[in-house]
Amino acid sequence: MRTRHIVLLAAVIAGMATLLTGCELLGFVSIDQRIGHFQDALNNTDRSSAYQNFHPDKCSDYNNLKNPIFVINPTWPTGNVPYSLSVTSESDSSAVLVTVTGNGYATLYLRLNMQTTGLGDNRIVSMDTSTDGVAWTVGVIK
Amino acid sequence: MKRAIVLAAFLLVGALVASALPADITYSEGDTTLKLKNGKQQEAQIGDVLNTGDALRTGKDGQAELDQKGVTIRISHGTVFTLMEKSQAGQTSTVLSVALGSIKFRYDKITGSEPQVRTNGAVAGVRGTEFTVFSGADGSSLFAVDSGQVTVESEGKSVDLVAAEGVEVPLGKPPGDKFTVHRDQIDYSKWNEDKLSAMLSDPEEAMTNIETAMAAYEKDTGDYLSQFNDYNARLTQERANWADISKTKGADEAKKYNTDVVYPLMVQTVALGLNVRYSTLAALSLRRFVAGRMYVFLKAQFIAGLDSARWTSFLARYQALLDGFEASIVPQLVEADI
Amino acid sequence: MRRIVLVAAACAAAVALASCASLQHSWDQGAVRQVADLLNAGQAQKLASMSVTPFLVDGEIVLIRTDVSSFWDGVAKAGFRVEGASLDQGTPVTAESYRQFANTMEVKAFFSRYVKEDARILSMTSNTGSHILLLMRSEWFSRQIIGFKGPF
Repeated sequence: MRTRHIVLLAAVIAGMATLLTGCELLGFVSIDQRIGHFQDALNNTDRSSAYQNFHPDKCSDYNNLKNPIFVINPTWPTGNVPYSLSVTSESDSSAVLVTVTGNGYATLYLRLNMQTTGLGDNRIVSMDTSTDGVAWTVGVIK
Repeated sequence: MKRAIVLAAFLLVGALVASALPADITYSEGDTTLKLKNGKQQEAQIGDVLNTGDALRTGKDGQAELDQKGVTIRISHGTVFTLMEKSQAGQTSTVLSVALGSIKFRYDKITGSEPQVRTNGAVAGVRGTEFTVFSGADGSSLFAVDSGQVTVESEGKSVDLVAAEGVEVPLGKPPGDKFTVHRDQIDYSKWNEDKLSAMLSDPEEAMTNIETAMAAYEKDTGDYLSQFNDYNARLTQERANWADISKTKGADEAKKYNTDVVYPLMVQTVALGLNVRYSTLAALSLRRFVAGRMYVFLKAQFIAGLDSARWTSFLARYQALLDGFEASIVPQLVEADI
Repeated sequence: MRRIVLVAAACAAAVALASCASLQHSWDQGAVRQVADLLNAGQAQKLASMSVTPFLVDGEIVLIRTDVSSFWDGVAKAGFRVEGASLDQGTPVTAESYRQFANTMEVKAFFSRYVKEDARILSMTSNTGSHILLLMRSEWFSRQIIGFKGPF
């Protein structure tokens, strides 16, 4: 392979890497990425940063979430890690549907209202929950 | 016992709704500050929205008006107003908190689900339609009704007020006797000055009232925390039961058990956690806007003679108050609350 | 030649560093003198105008602007003086500085949320031996008082 080709290939790889990660670096966080971060937070032994996935201005429970004891842990016990969060519908950002499974954990369905902060950073404003994805308990986190 | 839990839980799950409404700022003049729950502070502007956990403070020359779906909230100068929320009987509802200052509420119509109004020492249930709440420097409150009905409760006693009636509630004490009061008759500044003056001239009495009120908040917090811990423990047990049922009786039985028992317990446990936070924040409001202000004013008064018996006596009681606050309330606070 | 240049550069750096330290000491002394003079003259309004909100009095957080003014008014009315005041020590604010005011979660949060990195804690001593702590910083060449503790 000629040097010129190697340089070109390296540039393409660098460009793709930037495309994939650079947007987040610039502050843009897609719905998928945000749910991924929330999943990581739930699977972390230290859950004190889980609140950072919620909207700092619009989520009323934002401060309540800072101590994971009161909301995060009862909903997703630490004994059932690892959790897996799958986005099943995100066409409507005010009703993003997510399925949560865990180790020995009854499947929990989430309906999330997600809004961006000024920089296109998607955050969770409120969370409705359900055992079947049909009958919703509204505002478990709001 | 299990059936009772299931039935109660079903009722709770069905009832839980997010009814904490935001309030839009429709007028703002002078020194007005919006303190968001995430800790950010900014000048309050028309069009800004208060969500649950946010506070609006007006300075000496500040005034603001908010609209909360059919309620007009007029905030006078020198006022601290917070939108809080509490879970009661399976429902989450808004509580309008007046920690200091004077606010007039006017309801367009009464729906039966009006939010409660609280001060540092009293809670009012509103059946509208127009009334004013005064929250004094010493923690006392005054409720004056222009029209409709308001029930004021404190220390286990309640008083019903109708149009042209008012009641004063000293901190840590039940409501006083009702009196006649006409629209805009009370000069809040004068009333509050008198309260501040009385507090500073008799700090022993003021401390007794603060201690009584703080003890009540600490008890509430302790009770909610205890309930939360009980429910959390039950939740852990029921989750283990669910796991057993999954293994021994199959997926369908397990799903039913989750829907009927585990899930409602989870929702109620989270709601109880919310109440721990509500009670904690109410205690913080008393500590900051009544006790703390009293300390600062007295410190200035005694600064040239800190060995005086009056100051050292006050300081000893104040330190004991803080010790109780540190033990019972602070563990439930987060940095953004400060 | 290169050696001469290197030695000269090292000397210049040492002088610069020493100047920085003495400049800082000079600022600290000036700040203490200014606050002491204002206290002794009963200039409550000027002290209030130098003070920010939120403000710290001992371990108490003052959130209301008019309360800060009332505090200084009260101090002036009480006839409080710091005769013969001098700078005892000036230190930059660190992660542990809050303990000097009060070892509480609230004061720790106050420092974390409201006290910028360039703030300093100045210890003032009067001729009676009592101490006062000032939490101060510079903003646009004027001094800001963020907190006051004492006398103790």
